[in-house]
This record gives sequence, structure tokens and C-alpha cells, in this order.
Amino acid sequence: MWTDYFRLAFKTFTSEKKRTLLTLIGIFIGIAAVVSLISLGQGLQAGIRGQFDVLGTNKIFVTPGSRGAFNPANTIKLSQKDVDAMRAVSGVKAVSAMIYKIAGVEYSGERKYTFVIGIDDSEESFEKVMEAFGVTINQGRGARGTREAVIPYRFVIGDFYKKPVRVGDRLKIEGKKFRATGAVSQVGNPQDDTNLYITMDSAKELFNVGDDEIDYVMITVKDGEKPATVAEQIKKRLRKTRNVKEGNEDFTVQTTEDFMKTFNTILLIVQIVLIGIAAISLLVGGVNIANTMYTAVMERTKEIGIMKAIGAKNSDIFMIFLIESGMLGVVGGILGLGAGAGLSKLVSYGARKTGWAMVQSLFPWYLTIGAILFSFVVGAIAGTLPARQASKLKPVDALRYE
Amino acid sequence: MIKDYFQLALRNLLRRRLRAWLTVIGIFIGIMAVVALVSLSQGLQNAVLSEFNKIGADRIIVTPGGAKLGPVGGMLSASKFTEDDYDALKKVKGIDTSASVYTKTAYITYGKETKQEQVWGFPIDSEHMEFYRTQSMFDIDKGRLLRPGDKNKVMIGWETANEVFDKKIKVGNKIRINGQEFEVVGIHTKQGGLLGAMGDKVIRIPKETAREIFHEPDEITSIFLRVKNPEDIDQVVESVKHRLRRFRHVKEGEEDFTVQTSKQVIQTFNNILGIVQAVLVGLALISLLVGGIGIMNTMYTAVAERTKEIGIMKSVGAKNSAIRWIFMIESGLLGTVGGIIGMIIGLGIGKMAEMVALQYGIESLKAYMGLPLLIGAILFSFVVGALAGTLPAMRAARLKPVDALRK
Repeated sequence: MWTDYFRLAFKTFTSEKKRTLLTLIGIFIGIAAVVSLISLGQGLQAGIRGQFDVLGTNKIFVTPGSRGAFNPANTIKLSQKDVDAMRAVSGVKAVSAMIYKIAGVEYSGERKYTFVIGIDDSEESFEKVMEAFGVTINQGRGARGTREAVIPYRFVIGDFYKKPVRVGDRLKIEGKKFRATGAVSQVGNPQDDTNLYITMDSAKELFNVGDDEIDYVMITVKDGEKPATVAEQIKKRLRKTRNVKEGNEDFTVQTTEDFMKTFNTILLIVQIVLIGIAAISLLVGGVNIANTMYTAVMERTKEIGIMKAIGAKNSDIFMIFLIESGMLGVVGGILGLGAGAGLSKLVSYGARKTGWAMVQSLFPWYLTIGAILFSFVVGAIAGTLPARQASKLKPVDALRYE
Repeated sequence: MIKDYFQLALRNLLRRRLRAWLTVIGIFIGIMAVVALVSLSQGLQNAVLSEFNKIGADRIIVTPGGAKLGPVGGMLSASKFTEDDYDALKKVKGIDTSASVYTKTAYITYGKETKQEQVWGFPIDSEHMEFYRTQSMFDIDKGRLLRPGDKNKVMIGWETANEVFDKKIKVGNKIRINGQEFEVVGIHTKQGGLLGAMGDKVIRIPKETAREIFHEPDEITSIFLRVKNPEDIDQVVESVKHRLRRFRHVKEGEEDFTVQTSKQVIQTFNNILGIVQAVLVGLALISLLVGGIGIMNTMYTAVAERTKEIGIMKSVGAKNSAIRWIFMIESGLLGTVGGIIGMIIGLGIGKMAEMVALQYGIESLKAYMGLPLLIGAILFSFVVGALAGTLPAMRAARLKPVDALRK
């Protein structure tokens, strides 16, 4: 019985090749667009999560100013006293302070501007702090003293300066000589892959800043402690040292989880907007299927009449047409899935070429199954009305139809 | 003749009413999405442009830092400006008026609350005040402007006065900036809009006072310039760069400062909006493509159904071109009707989004309904219809009368 339904559907496809093909294209385009967007969105999300995983969920970030992690217009700073106070909070394993500035960096006669980050290595080694920061030194070693720097990925591959920078080479930061003692692996976005790392002592000397001009503090929480609880303790302590009341904080404390939540929310909104707009084409594709099915019902009125006359039930007729339209959806969906996969691979390849290694293309099993299932549903829904119309035809009228 | 074509096309469409409607729906959904998106993004762009245009095309902003991040980059930059830099460039030929300002984040206390806000210190002699006022586009709503001789006096933006603190600030009230008491002498008129995000939440004090309370004797954070003749602006930019390069001993192409004209700022903003618009409209266009395929499908079916009819028309003398026209007009009509309906609903959606945004206090989101969009949408949907109909129409035109009749 069921195999008959499918065979009938296939027969129609082969006899109405052009119409079937055009209807398939309609669904295929929509599925391809939606699939590639979801795939890239999932990939980006996974990429960001990967960075946070490297960072670890046991981190707390403290930034000066009340408006969150990155507000460049803010000139409020954290002080050494704040850092010491945070160190004393129970549950805190390590505290690393950072200064960042945009500075002129000169290499083989070429001067460019980039972020220079001063890292406090007084408590733990430079390498350890970098690692906790989620950045791996994959060549040479960390910086020591006041004349050494660790260079970013894009310096090494040679797409920042005309000439690639190698470990051991000399650079000038704001006119002062530095030696590159190490290089870090790719972070995955073009901005962070140009950050130059030096010690906090270098930064203080270079930028002429005192102990109390810290831009960023990263805290590692002891194993077994809840970051959110420790973050609350830090807030309490900082309110005391900075002498501010609750609600008037001039600093922001965020855990890795807080960051991830913010990122995910933003990403989700962007995805919903983009996929929502792309999904409109699926709706149009569905309308096309409905149209094709109505035409099919009309053309085959006589055939329906004959089938009914020799004993086909209404439900048989309904199923024949429903399977036909569902198949149109599924086949379009499978083709679209393939094209969407290709498209998403292409985009992520292009993104990687321009420094956005973070943008991957990802195909979780539920995307594959979901796309096929969804395209079947689109096809079936589009076919419901035409199939109903076909099933309700009176045999006599249908036979009489010209 | 043409009239006949149209009559034929229309009659044929009405013969298969359901199919015609479904095909039209396919186009109408796409056009609706495109029109709504274009209308909103264009409206937003226009609002931004008209606000920026108030600044005037004769302004230049100079900030420290060479990372090309504009004023924001300046605050993070290792290189700083001092009044000496300002003195060095203010005499450049072609500059009409100029002012140097110093800004810093400070703790503002009012009643029991303390907030952190940007405080702008600027020259308050009458000439500079007027220039700075037009530059930053503020007017006094209540109270007065700062005037020479004012010390420990402050002007604040509308939002600072009414929304930042639980209790509203009025002229004559005292606020504390970094612990120092200031009297509020003026409150600015509400700017609203996108620029209001920057202009309504400000605190402005005399530069000399800022130097005292922030213990900063010489640093400046930005320099505002106005050129005498807007046509010469590019030349003045070059002169300013040249002068500053010499003064700061940096080579060309390696400047540790940024010189931007108001036009460039607008351009940057425009480019970003343009990219967003392109992505969204591009995605919406996909559905139009699918709608076009729907038209093509309908037309192929129509050709197949009317093969005999085509044969008869040809045998009584219809030329190939006549057959082509009949089918092209039919598909063009499908597109156009879909386009008109889609355009009307799309504009409705745009208008609705505008009203919803207004409910949330966003005044800049105005649905654009200009003639180019209206005509463009209809024309475009006609083109989509006609293009989709081309292949089926050609197939119909090429049918051999004998074969067609025999079918």
C-alpha cells in the first residue's frame, strides 16, 4: 500500500520533470540559506565557547567603571590597593592585573599602531598568566624585565607588517627598543591577533603610568569554589576599598559565565533576525509547492475519478497527494542541505583567510535531521489543502471533467 | 494591439484564479519583506544623516592616537596631546575658529547617589563658547551658559538632569564632581535622536576648573576646528597633518594622531549601515528569487495547458513575437500585482515598526516611503515577473503550429 503511494508520487515527478525541478529549486534555495546561516551561527557560538573553555569557567574579570567590560571612554582605573584587596578574598587562587594602551610599534622601519598589553608577572610567571588569559605561547618564551615582548599571530604570519616578525627580532614600542622572545598562537579574530604583550613593569615605564592605573584584572578561582560566590565577595571587598555604596559601584565584576551569557544572547538575537528573514523564502517555496499540487490535482481530476470509481477511498487519494508534496519538500530539503553545507564551508573558509578563524561551519546531527524533517513538514503542509480537495472530489464529477 | 495582449493575459490569469493568486502570493511575500527592510533601514540612515548634517561640513576633529579608531581610540592611546600641540596647529591657514577640550570620567554625586560620567572641560570665553556650542549643538533650556569668570559652575545635559539620578537636578542645585561642589547654572535642551545618546548625557565645566579638579596641568583630549571655507577642507586637513607631523616628529603614514572631518565620520557611519542593510535585504531577496521561480513554474504550466490554443492562434496568423508578448505580459502582470500588494503591506509593516519603536522612545526609526522606493518596488517586481516568464514565453513562441494543434 505505502510503496504504491510512493511509486505513484515518483511517476508524477518523472512525467512532469520541469515542474518538479522548479518546485524543488524553490524549497532548495530556502533550505540552503537557512541551513548555512544556522551552521555558521552554531560554528561561531562554538568558536566563542571554545575560547571561553580555554579561558576556563573559573575566571572572574574586574574592570573599572560601571558600564561593563569594555568602555574605552572610561578613564577610571583600578589601583594596586584594589588588586591587593582582591588577592585577600578567600576562594581566590591568583590575581593578574593588566594595562592596555594603543601604542606605535616599529618594525624594520615601519611604524604601526596596535594594542600593547602589560601583564603583571609579579605573582605568577608571564607564561602562566598568559595561559590563564587563554593565550598560548607556542614559540620561544614569555617576556621578562623591561625590554622583552611576546608577538601576536599576525606579526608572525606577516600580514601586519610588510615583513614577517620572527622570535628574536627587534621592535620599537613608542621609540623604546624591545626584543621578541616569544610568539602566541592564533586567537581567531583579526583584532586580538595583533595584541602585543609586555610585562607590567615595561608598560609602566613605557607609558609613564603609576601603580594605580590598572585597566583590567583577571582572577582565577580556587578549585571547588563557585565563581559567582567569589565574585560577590570581590564586589563586597572592592566596595570597601573604593569606598562606594552598593548601587554606586565604579567597577564591574563579571564571571566567564556572565560573559558567555551576554555573548550568547547577542548571538541568538542576530541569528533569529537573519534566519527569520531567510526563512521567508521557505514560506514562498511552500506556496510554490501548494501551487504545483493544485495544478497536479486539476490535471489528474479524471485519474482521481477513475481511482475512486474502482474503489479508492478518500484517504487513499489524500495520502497519494500528501506524499507527493511531502516528497517534493524532502528532496528539495536534502539538496538544500547539501548546498547549504557547501555555502557555509565556503564562508568559513573565506573568514579564516581574513583572520576570523573563530567562524567555523558546524553540522550537528540535529541540523541535518531537522532540515530534512522541516522541509518535509513544509511540503506536507503545503500539500494538505490540494490533497484534501482531491480527496473530496465526487467520482462522477471527476470522471466527467475535461 | 498591445491592449489586446493585456486583455488576453488578464483573461487567461482569471481563468486559473487559484494558481494566479498563489503565484502572486509568492512574489508579494518577497516584495513585502524587501520593502519593509529597505523602508526601515533607509529611514534610519536618513535620520542619522540629517542629524549629522547639522554639524556642518566645515568641521575637523583632531585626536591623539594613530590607530584610526577616532576619538575613542584617543582615550586609550599611549600618545597624548598637550596645549602645545594645539598652539602649533591653531594658526594653520584656512582655520576659522578652534578649541581644545579636556575630558575625563568623574564621580558625580547628587543627593545620596554617585554616578560616573564624562566631564568636559572647555574654554568659556564668549568666542570659544559660541564655537563649542555650535560644534556640540547644545542650547540652554533653563538657566544660562557658562560665562567668563565662572568657577565651580556647571552646565548639564537634559538626561543628566532628569534621568541619571533618582531626584531631578534643577538650576541652582549643587552637585559634586570628584568631591568638589559645583552649582548647576544651565540645563541643555533635550536633543533626542541618535546624537542625543551622546549630547544629552553630558557635564560641561570650564577647562581651567577641570585642570584644577583633575590635577592635569597640560593634557588635552581633542581639538575641534572649523575651516573658513568648506571647499578647502581637504587642503586644511593636509596642512594640519603636515604641521602636527613636524611638531611631533613623525613620518608621513605613521602619524600618532588622527585628523577626521565631519564628512568622514558620516561616511563611516553610512558604510556600517550600508553593510547591515545589504545583508538583510540580500537575505530577503532570496524569497523574491523563489517567488520568481514560482512564476516561471506557473507560466510553463500555462504554456503546456494552452498548447492547442497557441497552435490555433498561430495557424490564424499570430506571429512568434505576438505569442511571446502574450506570455511575457501575463508573467509581468503576475509580478507587478504581487509587487503592488507586497509594497503596500511592506510599507504598513515599516510604519508599524516605526510606531512600536516610538513607544520605546526611539525617535530616529522613521519608515522611509519615498517615491524611489515605491516605483523601484513595482518596477522590480515587474522585472522579476518578466524575467521569470521569458523562458516559458520563448518556448511558447517557438512551438510549431502543426505540432501544437495535434496535441
